[in-house]
Amino acid sequence: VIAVLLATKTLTTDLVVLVPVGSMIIANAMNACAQAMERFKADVTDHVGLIETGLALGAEPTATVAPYVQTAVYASLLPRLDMLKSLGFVWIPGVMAGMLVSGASPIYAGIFQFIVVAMILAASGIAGLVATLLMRARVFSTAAQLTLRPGISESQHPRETNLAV
Amino acid sequence: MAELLNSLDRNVVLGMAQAAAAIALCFGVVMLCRRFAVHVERETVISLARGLVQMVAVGVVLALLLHGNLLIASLILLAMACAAAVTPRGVRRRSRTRCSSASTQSLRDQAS
Repeated sequence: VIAVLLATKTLTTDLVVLVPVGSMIIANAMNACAQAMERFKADVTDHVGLIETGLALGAEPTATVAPYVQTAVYASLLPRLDMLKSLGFVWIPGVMAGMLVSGASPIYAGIFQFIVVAMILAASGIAGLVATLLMRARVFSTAAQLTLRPGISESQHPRETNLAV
Repeated sequence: MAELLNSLDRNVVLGMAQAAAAIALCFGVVMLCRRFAVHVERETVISLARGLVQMVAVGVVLALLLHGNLLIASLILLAMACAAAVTPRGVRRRSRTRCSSASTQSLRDQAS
């Protein structure tokens, strides 16, 4: 996200702009990752029976957890969407406040704050999606068995199982 | 008013162009999510539109009232508190709708 915005000259390469804005984007992407992974893990461990029924009926592992991938990504995006929706009405965020205090044009400060939050939304979307997809790849063994179970760690369920007859 | 017109300088035009680039990036991410059946198109469009309009509106209001007195600042903060009180209502309604549609879907899955 940062690279794209640098390429389109939306962000300048000035250190005073790049470091604070970049840190905000990275921190929010980290939060989105954590939220998506936590939600996915909780959903999968809550629906072990449903997922295993699907697997037993011959469904693809990715298809059995598809609804949980969707809810996890949505859950990670929801706080950012609400943040964007309430922008200006409920809170004047830090960047705008700082720019106003330093004497910048209020309209430009508002637009720049919107750009920052839009970048946070984009970064969170990518981070949440990638984290969930990586986690999805790890919750099944090579024999398409569900390895993520409540109270059972992965060491007790090795990825390479020789149970296939 | 003169202050507002002064604010509409080259920086604002540049800001709008930058905002367009950020919105395009957001739409790219929405398309990526759509590929994995995560449908956030409508909400993203509404959020982006609301965010941009609200921030520009706040910028205009601040440009007009920058030299206002304490009473005006108090009124602005009161309006923000009212908006904060109203905003979570939409979230609750949306989550309730999502829950009911998810349970309907799971019942339908079980029936099939």
